[in-house]
Amino acid sequence: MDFKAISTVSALILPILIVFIWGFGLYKKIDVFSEFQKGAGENLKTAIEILPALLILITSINMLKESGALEALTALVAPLASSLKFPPDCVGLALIRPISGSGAISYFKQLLTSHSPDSFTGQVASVMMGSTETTFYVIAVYFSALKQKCPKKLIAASLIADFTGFVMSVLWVNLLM
Amino acid sequence: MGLLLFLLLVSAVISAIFSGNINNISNACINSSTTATYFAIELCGSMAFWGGIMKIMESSGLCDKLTKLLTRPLSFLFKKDKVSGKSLSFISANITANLLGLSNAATPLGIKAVTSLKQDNPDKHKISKSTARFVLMNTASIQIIPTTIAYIRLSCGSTEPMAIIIPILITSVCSVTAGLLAVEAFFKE
Repeated sequence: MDFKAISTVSALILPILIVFIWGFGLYKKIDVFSEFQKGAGENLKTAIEILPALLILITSINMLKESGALEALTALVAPLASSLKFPPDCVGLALIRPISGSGAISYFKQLLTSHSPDSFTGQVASVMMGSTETTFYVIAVYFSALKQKCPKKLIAASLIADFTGFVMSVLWVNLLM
Repeated sequence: MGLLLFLLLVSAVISAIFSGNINNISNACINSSTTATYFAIELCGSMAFWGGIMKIMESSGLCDKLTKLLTRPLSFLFKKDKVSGKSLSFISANITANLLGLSNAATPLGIKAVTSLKQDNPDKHKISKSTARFVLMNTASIQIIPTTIAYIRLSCGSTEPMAIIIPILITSVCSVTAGLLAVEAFFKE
């Protein structure tokens, strides 16, 4: 597939979308500028209200990331992973992926420099990155906004989705590539 | 929540002592509040911006059109008698943004969606099954074209940066399905 064409198209989506929405508002003869300000003002308040909860959530997530707990866990899980044909270097990625977006990206970049992006490990890592999200950040942001506690069963369901993504990455790279 | 955070902090401190990363976690303590504030400020920008755009979409009727378009595919997850039209329009907008990979737009729209879903729910102490389904669709990835990943692959010297697109799509479908099935099993309507 032509990378340049696809990346140009996807870079155009956002600007075109904004122009389209603005233009559609003008066409429907609404006061776009004042509507925009009304909506922006309302949301600004919500964003500030989220900050207190985020402070402690992000602090504890970052402390865990920096503490070396993930490395210890990686070493612990590695034998099990290799018996499942899961590339050993992808274990660390699987552990950091749900916790830290920037952490996962830098781990992923390192992995692609030590292995080729087109190697088995590189491909599995790419599929893992592309098919999952930073689960705990999403939960932290949404439940800070809700001012409610996230039920354990929802965290469990999200982690089941992530785990399925990791296992399936290995399977589909094996089958399709 | 208090206990969960306590466990997180305790395990961070213990493993830092054992692995000798004491300076790292001390730095994490000090810097994280700044990181969180930067993040919130970023969120202020994108939330306010997309709130404004969303308002234009609402008053121009574009929201209704988008909702109508997505109502049928979404109706098996978000039943009409449980979810208000307002929530459904935020959900539609969030899912559209997620499919297109516009995470800057998806987060503020998602926040609007969950707060609106909270109002639909008669039980204010628990989250509804619809909310659980919605949050899950955001913690799992539903992006169609993984441009960031392809770009990183290209910059690391891949000859086929886009080759992973099909396995990513299939894997995403598998993981979202597994997560939604787990929600079905764990939550009562």
